Amino acid sequence: MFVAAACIAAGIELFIGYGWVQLIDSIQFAPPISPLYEFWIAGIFGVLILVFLLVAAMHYVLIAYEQSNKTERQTFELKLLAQDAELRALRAQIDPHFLFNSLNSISALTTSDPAKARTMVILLAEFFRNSLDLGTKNRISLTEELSLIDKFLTIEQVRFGSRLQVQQDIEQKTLECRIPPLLLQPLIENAVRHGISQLLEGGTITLRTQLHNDRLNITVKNPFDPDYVPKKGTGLGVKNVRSRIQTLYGNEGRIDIEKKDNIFTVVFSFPVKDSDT
Amino acid sequence: MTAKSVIQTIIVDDEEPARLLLREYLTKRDDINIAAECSNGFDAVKALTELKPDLAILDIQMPKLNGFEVLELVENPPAVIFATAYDQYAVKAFELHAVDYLLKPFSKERLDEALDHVAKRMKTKKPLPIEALAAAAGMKPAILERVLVKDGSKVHVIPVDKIDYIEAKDDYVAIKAEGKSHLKQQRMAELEKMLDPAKFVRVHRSSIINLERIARIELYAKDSRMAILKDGTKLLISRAGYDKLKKML
Repeated sequence: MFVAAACIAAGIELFIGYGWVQLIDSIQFAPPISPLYEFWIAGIFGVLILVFLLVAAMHYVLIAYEQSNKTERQTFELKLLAQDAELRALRAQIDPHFLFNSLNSISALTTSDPAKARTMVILLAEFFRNSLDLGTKNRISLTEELSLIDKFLTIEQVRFGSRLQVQQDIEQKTLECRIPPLLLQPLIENAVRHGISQLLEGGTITLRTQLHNDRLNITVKNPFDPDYVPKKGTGLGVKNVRSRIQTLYGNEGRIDIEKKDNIFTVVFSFPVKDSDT
Repeated sequence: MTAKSVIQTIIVDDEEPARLLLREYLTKRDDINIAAECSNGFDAVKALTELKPDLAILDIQMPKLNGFEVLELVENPPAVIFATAYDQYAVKAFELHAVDYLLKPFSKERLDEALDHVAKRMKTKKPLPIEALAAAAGMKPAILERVLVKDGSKVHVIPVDKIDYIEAKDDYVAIKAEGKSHLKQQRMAELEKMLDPAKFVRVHRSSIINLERIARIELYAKDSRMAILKDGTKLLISRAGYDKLKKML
């Protein structure tokens, strides 16, 4: 392709050059050296092709360089996002309200129900350890993420009692799907913090997963108090999930948020390929 | 402390284990009687109004009504020990106003310390600067989003968008919303200051109107006009009020 382009470009250059020669010819004082003329043209044509090929090669090198820069930047961006998720996970573990209230619950249970207090301590430790581990991975199975979520919810259920109900509708074949770590957990955390805990009577968090046409569909639903005014800096969870899905899956990732009849629903889906497993 | 004076106390926390812990600590003291345990702000307002306890141990983060809002709704609030898991701003506010507070999880010793301190302070009967506290703790929005009205021992939460208009009635304001009238002990000027000026206009010394509810304005007499609301209510507009309205509409 480059050679063809080079020929065409050289042809055009030659044509322009020929024009110049004609021009110079017309104003020259000596007669043209006709026998060498054709020779010259062939020579110039060859030189021009070479020059063009050189330029094209340089250009190609530049493009390749830029491309590699771009890929590098993309990998870097992905890495940053992953790190961000990890950081968020870290912060989630030390979400002060979650941590201190859980510790307070444990403190209360030590006299009334020591066995339960111990279970809570272990759950809390496992939750911390798991999110640290998962945060360093590229992809995990949905089962792993769900197990983390279960720990989180079990701890929160001790705090909120019957106010926090959970309904899980997990399709069996989704369990082995490979997903980015800690994508779902922040949404569940939001559902508790901004949904259930702001309601006098609490409510039910619904979590549903489905596999359809090689796409994993996940739905998180929770009731919320329409009068509740979240403090600044909230809503970050959904924003983070959105940007992660966008970066990781581009046009193939989807996330929709709906607030209707005092129910907050997040639906997101992305392709799960064999290469991910 | 005078011998054998028992402090009537209520516990307010939306988390059961937290109440359990306080109960455990408090029952070990013979100078404390737990008069009530409340799991939300509404129950707390009711208990404070009906039982008039000496002391409330009050969680700050609760659904619907936070700890500060509970106290604002009660006429003569008791001595208070605040409890919070984590709230930098609230803690700063407590320090600033030398208010007793507990950081969860807390030890029995820490609670005892706070109780002894409160017992001493109770004698001085110094009222709590609740509004200043709430503002310092960042729990008081600059613009009101809902109005809390106490009706006996019940609390009504009225989102400001639902308010049609507000009328002054002696020391009270009558808040008209969804066909009902709610009396609240507050001064007009105070309420006016907290309402969104882009939505509510004080059209007269004795009335504030939700702009969205105005159907039309008619000339009533020289220098005075009448606002006809969508529900047919007629409200007098003063000249100053009309000037303000003209700018808005």
